[in-house]
Amino acid sequence: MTSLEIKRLDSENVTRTSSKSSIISPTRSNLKIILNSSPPQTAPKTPSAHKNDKEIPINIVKSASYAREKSQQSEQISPNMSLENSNLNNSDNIPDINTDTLRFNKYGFIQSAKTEEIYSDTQPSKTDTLKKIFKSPNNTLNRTKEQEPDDTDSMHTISTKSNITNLKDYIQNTDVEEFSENIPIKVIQLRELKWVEMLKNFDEWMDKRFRKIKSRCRKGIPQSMRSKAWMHLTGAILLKKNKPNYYNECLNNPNNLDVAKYIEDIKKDLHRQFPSHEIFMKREGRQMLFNVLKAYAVHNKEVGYCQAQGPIAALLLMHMPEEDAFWMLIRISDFYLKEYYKPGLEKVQIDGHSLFNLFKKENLPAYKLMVSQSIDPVLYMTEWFMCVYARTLPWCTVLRVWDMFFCEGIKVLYRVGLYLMLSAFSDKQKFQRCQQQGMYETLNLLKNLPIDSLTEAELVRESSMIKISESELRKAFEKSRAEFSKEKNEKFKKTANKKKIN
Amino acid sequence: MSGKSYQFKIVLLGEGCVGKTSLMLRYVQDKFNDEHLSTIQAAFIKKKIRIGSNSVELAIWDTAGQEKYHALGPIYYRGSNGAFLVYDITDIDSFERIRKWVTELKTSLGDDCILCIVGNKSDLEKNRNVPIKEAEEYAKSVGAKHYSTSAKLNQGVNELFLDISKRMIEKFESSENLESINHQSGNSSNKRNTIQVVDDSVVQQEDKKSGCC
Repeated sequence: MTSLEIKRLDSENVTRTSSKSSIISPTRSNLKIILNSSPPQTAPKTPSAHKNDKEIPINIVKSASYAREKSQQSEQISPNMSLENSNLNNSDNIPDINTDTLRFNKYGFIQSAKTEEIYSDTQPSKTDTLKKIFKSPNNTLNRTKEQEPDDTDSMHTISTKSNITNLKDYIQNTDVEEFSENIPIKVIQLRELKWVEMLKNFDEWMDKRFRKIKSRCRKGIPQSMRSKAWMHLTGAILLKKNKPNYYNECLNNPNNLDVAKYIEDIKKDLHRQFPSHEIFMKREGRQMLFNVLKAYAVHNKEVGYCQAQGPIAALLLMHMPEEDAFWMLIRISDFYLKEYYKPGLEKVQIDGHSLFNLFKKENLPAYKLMVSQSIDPVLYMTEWFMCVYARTLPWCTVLRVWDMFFCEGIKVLYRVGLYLMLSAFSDKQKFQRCQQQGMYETLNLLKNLPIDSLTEAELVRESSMIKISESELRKAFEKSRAEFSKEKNEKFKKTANKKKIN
Repeated sequence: MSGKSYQFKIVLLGEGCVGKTSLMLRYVQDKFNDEHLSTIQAAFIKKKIRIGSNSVELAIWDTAGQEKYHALGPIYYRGSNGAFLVYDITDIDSFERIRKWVTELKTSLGDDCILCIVGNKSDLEKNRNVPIKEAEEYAKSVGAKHYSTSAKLNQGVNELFLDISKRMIEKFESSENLESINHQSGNSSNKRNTIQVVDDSVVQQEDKKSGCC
């Protein structure tokens, strides 16, 4: 059967209690970017990543790295002004703190709407425009949906009260308010000020008060500060500053690196990233996406272009200008998710197995069920991890996950993954149905996650409760890596034998 | 006479953007959308059909096409009874990619898997870059059948799925026969666990246990 009924998750099924005070931040190990002539892709690594695993490093990021040089980063103005200017059609006085990012707010999601309300007293016209624009992606999505509600996953239909046919449509269509956290404007204002203060002197904060940063990231970065904060958290801002011309160099490909194959692949995908989003409905938007992806392919020829980078770059472009998105993509692909986009996707497969290994502790019956049905983690977690949930969660929730991810690293992917798996199996009846009906039912369950568990507040709170220590993570990783290479060897032998026979 | 019920797995393989997802969605939902998302995570969809008095449940697996994901292939095609190797008739590279898949499937699955080579986007005939003759000859040379489809115009899609279903039934029945012969001669090594055949009369009782493949 293709239709799967989504049942609301009973609140009683949520066993974990919420208490933010119990969040313990891990110790922070400082890492230094060597900002010298070496190409950025080779520079940053956690010291721990050097141990034992030269082939596939574990990217446990505790914090982004920061160079010593003092700078007025927070005051830096993006050199790529053309886009901003073209998008900004009035010159209202916007308070200083927001000028840079507010321009991109129109492409921002949920919280931006609220943040923008701060200014509604003084600039009603602007807010109105922003709200209109803000709504438009939803409207167009609805329209597309009625006509042809298709993507890969429309196969997993949901029979709910509405006429929406699949979870993904549901998530991306429904009034975002349903998933977003209701934060009083005053609180948001306060948070903005705190972030402004932090970004003024971010180096020092990272060195001395990382816990505070972490807790603020978990609370959610105000939409108006988001792009800037991401640039700082990842260290992309330093890379950009260090090589001001690099983006254009990559874009123009002066060394005539052969990336033709990747360019073909990129072109095939341009109309397939958030096709109903305002930016990517237009040719200019798709051109921006092309530029960023192409420049990255030139920058890192070994990785080139992987389809999973598309949604990431697209989401970045919804928040920041091309050049910033480029540097962010470099940080994500070369550091946070190092090795993820290489041919073979070994790292993803290994991480999938370690996610599954960690799941054993969280829900043993479900773990055993999945083992008995021989469900490979690749069947459910590829998109989760490779796109940092950009294709899985409601938009407001994605942004909150990204806030935490840039601060705490790959651990966040694990925590959210475990949380999603736990909530999928939280319904006893559904679990029993999986036991009776087999692998396909289980995979459907993991695909059509209970909607109530995807609200930003719920997801952030509950996933933060899941404790994974670094040693646990490392152990799980080492274990699955050993399993993986063993499996690979066996397969290799088998194929070799078969070839001989043939 | 009450029919049998079969369960088969079909996997769609091929270069990115050749229309694997579109073929599947056209067949199952009779819909076409130019702007669906690129497939990053493989996914499946189930469909039940009747062929004569038999009922067939198809589990159709759609995969990510980009070459980077090639290594994940075995996870998806493991235990497949049929495979569609899809190429875009306007893109010669996508046809070349088919050859890799054919070799790999033959090595891994042997003759257990029915191969269909599918030239999609036949609505773009004027931009054709893969000569139909070459494609057909190649298909013949590897013991596969060639099909032309257009998911956009809904041409040849139903026929494609129907045909492979019939062939999978034939294959299954003939290997069953072979097996029973082998069994009689005391040589039952050829057992396959991917297909369950259940008589309709029995299926009502065993309904709940027959989901997995």
